[in-house]
Amino acid sequence: MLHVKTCDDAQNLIMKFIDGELDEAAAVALRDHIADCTACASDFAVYDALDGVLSDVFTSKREPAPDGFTASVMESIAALPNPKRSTASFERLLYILAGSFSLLFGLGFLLAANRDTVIDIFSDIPFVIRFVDAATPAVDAIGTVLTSIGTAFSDAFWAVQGFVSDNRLVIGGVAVTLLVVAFAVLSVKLRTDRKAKAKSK
Amino acid sequence: MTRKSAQTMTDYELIRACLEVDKDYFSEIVERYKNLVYSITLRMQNDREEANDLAQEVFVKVYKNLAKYYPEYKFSTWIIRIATNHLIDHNRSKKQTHANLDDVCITMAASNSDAPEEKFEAKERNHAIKNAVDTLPDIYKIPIVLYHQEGMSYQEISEAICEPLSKVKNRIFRGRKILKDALEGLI
Repeated sequence: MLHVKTCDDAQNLIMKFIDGELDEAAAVALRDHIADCTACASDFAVYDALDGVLSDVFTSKREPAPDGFTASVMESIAALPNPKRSTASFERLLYILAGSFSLLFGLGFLLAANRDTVIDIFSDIPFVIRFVDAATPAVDAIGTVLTSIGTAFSDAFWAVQGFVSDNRLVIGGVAVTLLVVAFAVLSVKLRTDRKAKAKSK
Repeated sequence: MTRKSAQTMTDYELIRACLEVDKDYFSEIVERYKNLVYSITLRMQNDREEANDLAQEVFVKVYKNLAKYYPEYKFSTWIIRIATNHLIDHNRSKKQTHANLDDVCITMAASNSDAPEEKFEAKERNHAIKNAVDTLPDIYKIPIVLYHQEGMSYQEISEAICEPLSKVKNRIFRGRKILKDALEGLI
């Protein structure tokens, strides 16, 4: 059996009563409380009346939009460009892909970190052994290709690093020049955009 | 576009047609929701001209953001969200202050002195209550208007104003308490 312990509890039940969410047990508990509590009884009466009055006030004389409302809105949007198709669906796809890659990467890391345990578990499963035996030549071939690619990248990296190291001053000068040019182009663009915005107002 | 064909389209179909075919489809969206938006702005502002201007601005905002609407939400919920945000921004920029409870009570006392000692006429009572609602802070007024005027559920209000359900309930409770305290003795 539900009991209302405090007047705060009673206030919560009164609100539920107004919302039509009071079940029978709660209704009985509230009734018992307000039978003994004049303050809550008074509040209940006021809230009950208020609810009815609010509904009358809000729903009576509900005015429709004025005549010509739609035409006026359409006039306002006539000069506006068509709203662009949202790129949100593409962004969603990117998030899904990023999430999937993160999950795969995380799983791969966990498997690699616990390689011995994983091998112990799976090496008892005949199907897995057969699959690994069948896949080994292909995996080795892929490994060889990836190693070659890795080696090529590594050689290229060291070659670039050597070049940069030998030509520090020239490369530094080119980088600074490019930064200055980029800054100048951006400033001109910002100024032009501001002028165009001011003109359109 | 034929008027008849637009009338048979769902809200989402209308939006896609507006984005991909012809912006004139937007007029059907306005027709469907103009009364809803106007009734909310009128209740919040209590001035017909201002409410009309605000309601039209809401639809312009709706149009500009049409591409951001997702059909997972009811369109009415989405449009109400834009309307309430616009109203809040508008009131904030006007730096509207709301009378505190004492001011409301003073207003009530003043109207009391003109009324007969006996039970108030329903018209005067409703007028007093309307004044009390008008003076509620926006954070309480908006959910109360959406609940009592538009008949939205707590969940729908929560989605419309992007607040947790518990906060919506709390604000409605608090708003009702403020009204109850202000109107005790009149009801």
